[in-house]
Amino acid sequence: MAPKNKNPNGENVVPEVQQKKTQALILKSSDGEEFSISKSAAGLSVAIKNMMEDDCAGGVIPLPLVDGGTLARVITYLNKHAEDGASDEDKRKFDEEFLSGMEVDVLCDVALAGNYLDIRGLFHDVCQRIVNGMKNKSVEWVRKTFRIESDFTAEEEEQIKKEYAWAWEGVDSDAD
Amino acid sequence: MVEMGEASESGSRTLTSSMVRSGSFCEEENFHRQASFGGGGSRNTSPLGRMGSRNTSPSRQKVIKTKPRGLDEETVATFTKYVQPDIHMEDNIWAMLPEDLLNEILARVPPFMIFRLRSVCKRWNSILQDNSFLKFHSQVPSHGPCLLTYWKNSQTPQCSVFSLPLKQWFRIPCTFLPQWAFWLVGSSGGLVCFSGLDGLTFKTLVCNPLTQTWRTLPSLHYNQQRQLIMVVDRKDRSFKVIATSDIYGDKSLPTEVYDSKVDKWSLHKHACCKSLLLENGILRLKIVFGNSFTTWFNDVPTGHRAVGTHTSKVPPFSVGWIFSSRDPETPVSSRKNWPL
Repeated sequence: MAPKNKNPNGENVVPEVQQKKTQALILKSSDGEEFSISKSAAGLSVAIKNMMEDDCAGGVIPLPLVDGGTLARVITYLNKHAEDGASDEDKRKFDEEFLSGMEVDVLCDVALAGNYLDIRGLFHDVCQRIVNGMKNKSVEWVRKTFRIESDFTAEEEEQIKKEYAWAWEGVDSDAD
Repeated sequence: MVEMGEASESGSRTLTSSMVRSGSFCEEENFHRQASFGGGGSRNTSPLGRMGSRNTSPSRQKVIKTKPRGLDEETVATFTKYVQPDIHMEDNIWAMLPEDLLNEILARVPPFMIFRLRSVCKRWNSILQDNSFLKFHSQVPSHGPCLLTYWKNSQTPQCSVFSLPLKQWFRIPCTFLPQWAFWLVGSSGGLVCFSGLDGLTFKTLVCNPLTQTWRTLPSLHYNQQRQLIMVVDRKDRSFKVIATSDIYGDKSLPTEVYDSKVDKWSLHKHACCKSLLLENGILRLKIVFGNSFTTWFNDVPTGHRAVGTHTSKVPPFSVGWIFSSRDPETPVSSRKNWPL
């Protein structure tokens, strides 16, 4: 039930959202897509919870900073974490799988959404995931993956490297 | 394989080891000056947020406390200003990232990686050396435990640190240290404590091997070789060193406690500490007060480099659990104080 990426027309594939017996909310993404989500799941977002407390029962909550693809992912996460009977272990496994397939730029989008919606667990996990991907990687790998161009001169770069030579030990080769 | 354990008892060996946390290797500023660090109660996730950069979460701005249907114009206008660069990342995604997200991500980078990542680009280089970033970095939960060994041969003293999270050794030269005869006492919160003999005076030296900074503590009231234990309080950004007689030593000497916040040794009723780091990472701690009673604490998880502050009660010590590396999410408030 994981949400898919955008289709070739640029439209997001809407995840199948369970219509629970509990009251549902509609979340509206920046590109106008609407998603139904149970209140219990939505309440895991502190930002949405605050909006619900401000009496918007049954309303549509516009989220002008989150695009549909990202929102679909966030909703998948919230649904799992609000699931009755899901143990912490289940959730942990889910989180791992959920994040493992994402590219860095997707992770960044989800992190931004997690921050915006104030879902601390998701935000932390995504940031940690991004960092884990950088471990033991070369500087060149980091630049390539995050599409950063070095603005150092060769001499400046060499100087930093020389100063902390120990920090360059054990770096994976770029071929990996 | 490195010898592991009994870190604080390994006085005369050249190769000794102890468990450290890599959590706050970068508390350089703290090192020179125990500036009081506020931040209590701040829910802001980024130091830059406090410095006036925008905060992307509406719940913290309380902007969203508006009616659900149709945000008011001002709010929408505020949001749309952010929308384009933040959401649609283009070629250089990291150049487009909001500063506070980049900070959040870099704050989770293990301290060892900070130095390498400085060479990525000028922006990263400047963030990774920024004082408020480094403070923020030291507040983020554990980067996991490390095994520290100290090796001194005739030429180059060096610390070898094995980072458990990175599963990697780093050989950090300690040539910046003075040329005394000294031995490893222990480490906590990224700081490493040595005991040394400069001529006829026992010295206590605390250093940060990553930033290559060090300082000596004032002289003990009693110039004796003592059992030393160092504890760092990351929340408080301070450290304490406790000097006691070991169980075979002169029990008539009072216990001395150094507090980095006042930069002084204070004298306390005699107590004697002995800590053992067991094979499974369990710290066993023994506290003896006078001749009256002895207490053993077992099952102190790694990272709980114990022995804390004195209280006004008698007996005057409590054992403070400083932090847990086993569960990096353990909130600070769960630290325990067990008065003896």
